[in-house]
Amino acid sequence: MFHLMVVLIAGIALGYFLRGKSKARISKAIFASIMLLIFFLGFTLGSNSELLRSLPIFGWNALLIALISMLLSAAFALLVKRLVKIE
Amino acid sequence: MIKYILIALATGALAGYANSNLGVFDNSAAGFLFDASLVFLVFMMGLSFGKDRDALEKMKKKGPRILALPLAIAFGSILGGAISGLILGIRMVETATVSAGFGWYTLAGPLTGQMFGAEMGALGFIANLLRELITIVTMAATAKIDRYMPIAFGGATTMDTTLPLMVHYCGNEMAVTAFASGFALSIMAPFTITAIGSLG
Repeated sequence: MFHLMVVLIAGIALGYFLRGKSKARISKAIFASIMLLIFFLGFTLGSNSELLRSLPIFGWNALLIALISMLLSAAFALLVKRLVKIE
Repeated sequence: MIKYILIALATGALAGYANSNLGVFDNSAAGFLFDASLVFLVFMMGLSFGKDRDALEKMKKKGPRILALPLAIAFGSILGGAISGLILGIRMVETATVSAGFGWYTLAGPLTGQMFGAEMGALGFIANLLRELITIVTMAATAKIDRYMPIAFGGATTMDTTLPLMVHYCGNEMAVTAFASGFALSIMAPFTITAIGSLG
């Protein structure tokens, strides 16, 4: 987990020195690797036979838990954003 | 974008399913490629953020106040988990433990399994996995409502898997906000899961 922080900071530092250089290539590379990332996310899920077995049993309950917690997270986040004046 | 995301996810799942039955590739190879593309992506996120003058200025203005955000997200998550337990007729402590994973399914699954048995472990894994998938699939819409909404939806995942999409839909200046929020929630998750779980 911490290696991602190191990688992010290294990226920011390099980006800082590369200011003014073209941006088009970066966004193409990002798009391609997002697709790769999501493909491999799907791949690891599709090859997880335990997950595929338990999905029909626990799927609906899990969906409800996920949705309600996400919506309340969003509600409190938007409230706090206004209270703390983040923007 | 969303069309390509769904295609990538579906073909990945089919390929993974076929591969686990046919056994062409070692599954750890897919895991390695996943990690490698993640590291590359986070680096590129940093790069495009560092290049963006306005993004750095906007970030400086926000300062430490953005840390209130992950706290609100955590509170909403746990409360939501408790409420869904009430609706489903499952003990509220157990569903709140599940939702205290904030989308980190590889952590929440095993931990809830340890505390409440294999069934709750599976529920914890799937509920948090769905949080990540729903965040990805709905991002084009949620980012339009409010740029902080996908960050709240994503929970702990906004420091890695959903970060690149977040930047795509919400702009460069949200990269560090999203990362900081996801990072704070990732640090909190092991504690919130075990703390709430130990109540039951």
